[in-house]
Amino acid sequence: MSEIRDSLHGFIHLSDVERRLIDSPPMQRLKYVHQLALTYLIYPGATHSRFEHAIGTMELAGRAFDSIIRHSRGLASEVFGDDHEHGRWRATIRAAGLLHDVGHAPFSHAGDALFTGKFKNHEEMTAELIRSDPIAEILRSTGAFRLDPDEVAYVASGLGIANGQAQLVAKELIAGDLGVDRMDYLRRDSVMCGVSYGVFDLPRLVETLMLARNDDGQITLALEYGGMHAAEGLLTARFFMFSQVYFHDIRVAYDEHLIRFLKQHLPDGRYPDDPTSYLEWDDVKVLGLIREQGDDRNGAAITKRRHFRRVYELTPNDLRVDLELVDRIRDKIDAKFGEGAFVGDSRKSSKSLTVGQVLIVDPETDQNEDIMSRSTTIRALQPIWLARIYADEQNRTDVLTLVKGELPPRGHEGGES
Amino acid sequence: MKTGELTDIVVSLRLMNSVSPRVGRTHIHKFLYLAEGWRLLQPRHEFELYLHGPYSRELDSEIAALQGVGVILAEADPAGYGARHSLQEPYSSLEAIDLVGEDAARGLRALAQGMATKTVRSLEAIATAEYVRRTFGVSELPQVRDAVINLKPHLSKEEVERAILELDALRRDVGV
Repeated sequence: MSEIRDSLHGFIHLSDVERRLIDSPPMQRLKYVHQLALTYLIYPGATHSRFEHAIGTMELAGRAFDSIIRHSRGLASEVFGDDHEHGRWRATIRAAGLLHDVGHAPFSHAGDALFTGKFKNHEEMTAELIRSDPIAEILRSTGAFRLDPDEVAYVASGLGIANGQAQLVAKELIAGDLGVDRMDYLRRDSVMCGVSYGVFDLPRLVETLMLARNDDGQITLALEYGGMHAAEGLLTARFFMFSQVYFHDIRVAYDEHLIRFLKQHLPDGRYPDDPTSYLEWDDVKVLGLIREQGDDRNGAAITKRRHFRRVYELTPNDLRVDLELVDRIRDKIDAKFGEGAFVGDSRKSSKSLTVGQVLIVDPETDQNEDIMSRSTTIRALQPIWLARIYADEQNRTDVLTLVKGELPPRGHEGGES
Repeated sequence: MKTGELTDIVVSLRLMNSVSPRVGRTHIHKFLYLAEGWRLLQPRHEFELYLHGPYSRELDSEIAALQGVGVILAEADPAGYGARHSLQEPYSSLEAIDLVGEDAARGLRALAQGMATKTVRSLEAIATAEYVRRTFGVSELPQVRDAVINLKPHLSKEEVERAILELDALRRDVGV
């Protein structure tokens, strides 16, 4: 058994199959995919990679699974079978945690817009890579358990149809509201950016995970009452990280420049469908392409910091009174300024700020209730819809005039900047 | 007041709220899955089979965005589980007929009548039965039932058969 020292979780011990998976080319590629895209141009410390996050997620997946088994013996056996099956599921869940981002495009989420061919998003590419060699061969043939690549692909990507309760719970454990993916990236991104927003009681949260039956009779991931404040911390952290880091105004501008550059310079304006060719693409190759293109407008926006700047931020009130406003402004800006301006709209990302059903279990009575009923903090947390207008220096004044002409005729505070 | 492409969410919630105050996100997803598939509303979302049946990530984000700017209020359901959703003024006063026209409003009203008071489990069974029909091209009750149970083994044979009959009734009421 070998081990890796992780900056967040300390020593992480690896089984043979995990070692071989980590050594495989698809996983090694993640060392060259920045976790937070070009955020390091704003927060200089944010140079960490998907590789670190993948290993951290694997470790937390194992710890979370152990906690569930400890705290929910009866239900755990009903879902995950006998002790031998527990071992197989633990290995499956850790492998899924390790592999859950293996299909990410260069610069992570910023590259999601370039999946316009056979694969529609990075999750589909992740599932494809897990079902293909070398990963599938390693899963099938190594270690004490022969793992099923289809099962690992389902748990890791969340795509497809669950075959039984265990797969549903396993998937939830990786990617749900209280999933280990979220626990790792919030804490890791926060530490690397040097901000305090992502701080929550991680050990407590993991230690209080368990299983419970919901009102439909389904067994689902739940939390012992003692972990409720840790969960509140996680969900609050997500809220602040979204507005302060993931949707940082300049980060959004860099993402837009990167997408425009790649649409122009990638063959067919997208990443290849063939997984072997796809895996040749990482951040290093994209940065090399940007350098090759010299003074390309969008490339230079990134390398020479000639990025678009925010002209105006629509207020929640602007958006509330006119639900068409963003689309109308976008259409007009596209028509009039073309490549000289754009609208950054968080609407498609707002889902990440909602809270689904999270059961809180009272250990005294074994009764459970939804965190929404139990926690005033969670009730107060609302998702965010942010919309900002960006332009280059040359178009700034004209864009602002256009935007102001579209705003409702009333006194508003506006977000001019 | 303009609702743009988000009219579909506003109208679905407006109509279901007029039947029941206990409308969750699952209700909105299943309502729009059926309404878009039956062309009562312009198809705009991609649905995938998920924990509680057909689900759209994009739609979920849009619901959240509407919460974020105060169009939708999500509050704890006093009955215990999950959140119930309602429109805030002035959207709660809008009339469906003004948003989508008389013909569509009639069908959508019937759909809301049939769905707003259903439990999540029941909605899951109904919407998955529709998913099976659309995806696998089967229509006979035994074939649909077996396919739904295959996808959703936690549902009993009886509740799936009941869901298929309820789906047929909904189609009739809506006029599909």
